[in-house]
This record gives sequence, structure tokens and C-alpha cells, in this order.
Amino acid sequence: MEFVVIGGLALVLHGATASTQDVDVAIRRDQENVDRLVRALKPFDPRPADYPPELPFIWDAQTVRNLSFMTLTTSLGRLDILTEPPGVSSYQQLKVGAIQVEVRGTTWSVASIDDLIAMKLAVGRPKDLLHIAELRSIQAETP
Amino acid sequence: MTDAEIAALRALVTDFDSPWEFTDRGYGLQDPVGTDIALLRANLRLTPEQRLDQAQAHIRQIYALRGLARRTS
Repeated sequence: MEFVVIGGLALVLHGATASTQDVDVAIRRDQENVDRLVRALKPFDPRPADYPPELPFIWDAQTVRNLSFMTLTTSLGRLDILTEPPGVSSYQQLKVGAIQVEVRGTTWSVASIDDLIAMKLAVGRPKDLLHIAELRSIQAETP
Repeated sequence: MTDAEIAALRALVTDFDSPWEFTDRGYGLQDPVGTDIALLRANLRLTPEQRLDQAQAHIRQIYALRGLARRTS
């Protein structure tokens, strides 16, 4: 499955001191990739976070294609999935600018610092502004 | 535990993204610009895996302290 790590986990991988309690990823929203995502997550009981348990929820490709942002609970933890990340022109922009990071035997695409700053500027919560300051410090500290 | 420490723990209970930041030296109020430069430089010397391990340790610490804050409130 093709994805780019964004959000707090991307900050951590770039060296930020931020903590995060979920995983945020941007995905390519084409049929093949969405089908892979659906198959990969199905064993882990994905459901929208805070969705009433008595309401039925169907985890399938159509559901994923119809949403641009999903905040999911899974048996592995919280997972946010974005198909239209804010502040960047497209998933492709994220993918092209991403750095490749080796983690526990696998290689992850992680959004670039410039794209993380653009996304955080677009969202603009107080904590995003703090994160932008830290990301700029990382840029200043790394050759 | 001091009143300030208890207040900090209570802040964590109600707001996970509170400005209280856990660091290698314990916890304290984040620098206003969100960056403790010495801590950041230490982080940048780590590998990505070590950064992940450290973040996971911080999360475990935060959850443990949230439980403690609930018991002391």
C-alpha cells in the first residue's frame, strides 16, 4: 500500500520533541491502493472514532473513496487517514517531496519538513504553530 | 509532589496537548516557541528508530502520570 506518514509521527521521525497518540497517513486514492488499504486494515476492526457502537459501519473500498478524512479506531490504536491533505496541492506533491526512513526493517515515506509546515499552517491550531516553530528549528539545525 | 506538579498532571488529564511537555529531564512548561534547543539537538543525534522508541516511552509516561493525576484529584 502506498502512503506518506504525516502529522505527529512525521514530526517525531524528523527529530521533533513532540509526542503523539495516533498515526496520521496520507494515501493515494486510486482503486488499487484503496483496495490494499481496506484489506490491510480489515483484521484490525477499523471504525470511525467516537462512532456509536450500536450503529453499523461497513469498512470497504466505497467508504474509503467517499471520504477525504477518516479518524479511525483500530485494535492497534488510532489511525487518521487523509486523501486530500490540507495545505498541499495533492498527495503526489507529498510523495515527491517525502524522505525515505528505515524503521524496523521497512522503509516509510515521511512528509518533508516543508510540506509538514504547509499542512500545519493550513490547519493553524495553537499546537500547530508550536510545531512549525520546532520544524523550523530542525531545518536550522540540520545541514 | 508539589502543587504545581499536581496542577500540571491535572492539565494532562483534561488536555493531552497541554503545553506541559515531558522531556528527558522530567517535565516542565514548554518554551514559548515550542522548542527546547538542547533537547532538540539531542533528538537529532538519534536514529529514526530511537526517536520512535523515545516517543513511545514518553506516551507511556504520560498515560501513567494521567492515572496518577486522577488518583490525586
